[in-house]
Amino acid sequence: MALIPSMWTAMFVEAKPHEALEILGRQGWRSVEISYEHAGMLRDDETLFEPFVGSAQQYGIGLDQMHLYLTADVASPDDERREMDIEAVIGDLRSCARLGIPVGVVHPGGHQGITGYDELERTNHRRLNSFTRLAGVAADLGVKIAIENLVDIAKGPHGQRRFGSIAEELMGLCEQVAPEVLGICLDTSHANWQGLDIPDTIRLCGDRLWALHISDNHGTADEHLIPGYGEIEWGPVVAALREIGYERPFNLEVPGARRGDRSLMALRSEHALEVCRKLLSEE
Amino acid sequence: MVMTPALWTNMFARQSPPEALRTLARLGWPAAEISCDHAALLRNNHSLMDSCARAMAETGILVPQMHLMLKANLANLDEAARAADIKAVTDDITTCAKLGISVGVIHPGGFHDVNTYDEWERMSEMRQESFGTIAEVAADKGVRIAIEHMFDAGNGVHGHRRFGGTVDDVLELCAQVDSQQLGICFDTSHGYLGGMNLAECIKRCREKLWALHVSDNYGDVDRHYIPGNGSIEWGPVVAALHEIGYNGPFVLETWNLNTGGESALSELELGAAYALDVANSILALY
Repeated sequence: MALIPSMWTAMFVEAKPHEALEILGRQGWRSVEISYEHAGMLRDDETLFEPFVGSAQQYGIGLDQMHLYLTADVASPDDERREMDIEAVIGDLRSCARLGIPVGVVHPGGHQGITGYDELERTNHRRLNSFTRLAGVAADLGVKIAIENLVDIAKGPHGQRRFGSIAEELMGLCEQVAPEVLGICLDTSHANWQGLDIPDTIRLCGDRLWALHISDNHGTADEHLIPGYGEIEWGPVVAALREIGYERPFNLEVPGARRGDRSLMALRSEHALEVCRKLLSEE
Repeated sequence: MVMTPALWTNMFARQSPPEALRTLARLGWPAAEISCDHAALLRNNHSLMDSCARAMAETGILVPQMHLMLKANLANLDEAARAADIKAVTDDITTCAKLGISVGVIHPGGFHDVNTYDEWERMSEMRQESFGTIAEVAADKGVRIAIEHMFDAGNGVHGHRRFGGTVDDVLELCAQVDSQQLGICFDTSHGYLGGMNLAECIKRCREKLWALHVSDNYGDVDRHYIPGNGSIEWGPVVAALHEIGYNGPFVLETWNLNTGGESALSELELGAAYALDVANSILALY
């Protein structure tokens, strides 16, 4: 596989999964990430699989990654919630296996504030246990899990730390649990907002980088703009991806809009494809 | 009745004003607003104005409006600073006249925190006096002035009020100065950020609506995205413009691709071409 443009299907979030694929396929996209909304639809409705696969085949679209249950908190202190979230993620992993999707993206969990080191320790322990379980299921299903970097949050006068805002934390988790099944999804908007050097982060991840969430911002909010409309310098980002030999899709996580006009969303998606082609061209 | 898509020239701010106009024309834009940064370059520069006039004549691109000095504060209580701004705005109106630009867009002024009713009152007096002066110049030159509404600002615990945070502020100013030269520029991003019902605002402006600044955001920051990249619903906006019979330019005041500040011209053109498709698509919604 090469570094090719890819779009998550949430650009057309109001469409059914196969309809979103058809729109993207007609525009020329040949790789997608199934968004968590569409993953949820597939999880809940068996009848959606067949037309979804049909659309992918008709347009030659690679189903290259899926965003697993977005709000899953696999490190939650609430046992019931954590169990439900893990089950939902497992359901999505099964969808991946059924659809031949090689990589599922998930957040590292532990969203609540941490008041002390002991609480941090307990949260880390829960996360470790949950990912051990998920890695086992994923290995059985032949699917890999890419854990996404997040961003420290701004609550409170001095902000609040959150696990996974730097790649080293995620690298450590992968190595500790199951390096053959767990890797990293780099979200460029999160990284830029966090103030990370994105090319350096890519090099740090190296061959553990298995998925991308590409979007732009101005370093002040999680805007998820089409690349080039924020402040990220994309030349060095693409160069770093080539340097580490990244050969997975250059997947855009640019949100669509509920209630948005479909024609404007289509134009936006087409423009995003043009921008990607420009960024990835080696002229 | 047809609204013409137009783009402000700031999307090509690194080009000279005539170059930017030629670029927009080449990309198919039928009209443009000269942005404030290009207006500053043109101010008192007659050879550059001549080049612009040639670009307009040779390409056929229409230039129905220009953004007058962006930071002009016509309500400034500092007399010397206010006089300097009035002079710059007057020069910009002269540019409009020379280039046959019919509408100049300007902010209402009075940007800092207001501590007392007395200060608010004095600023209002300064604003009225300044706009009276400018309206006379504009009348003399045959140019109309569209005052752009703003939004209440976010500083302080509860934010702070700012003149122009509602279109009624601007309508009232037009009535107070009582000049046929003064109307309104409606900025969709400012309106949306202010939590306004955009369609209702447009209907309230009616025949006083002389200019538009069209862009999108998510209602939290004044981002000026290309429409379709925020959460504004455009159908009701266009319907309201039709309802009041607005037939001026549909001017996009939007940001362009800026990959690290070093965008190649071809990348900037991608953004401008996309913006034109978007403008046409929105105008087709009605």
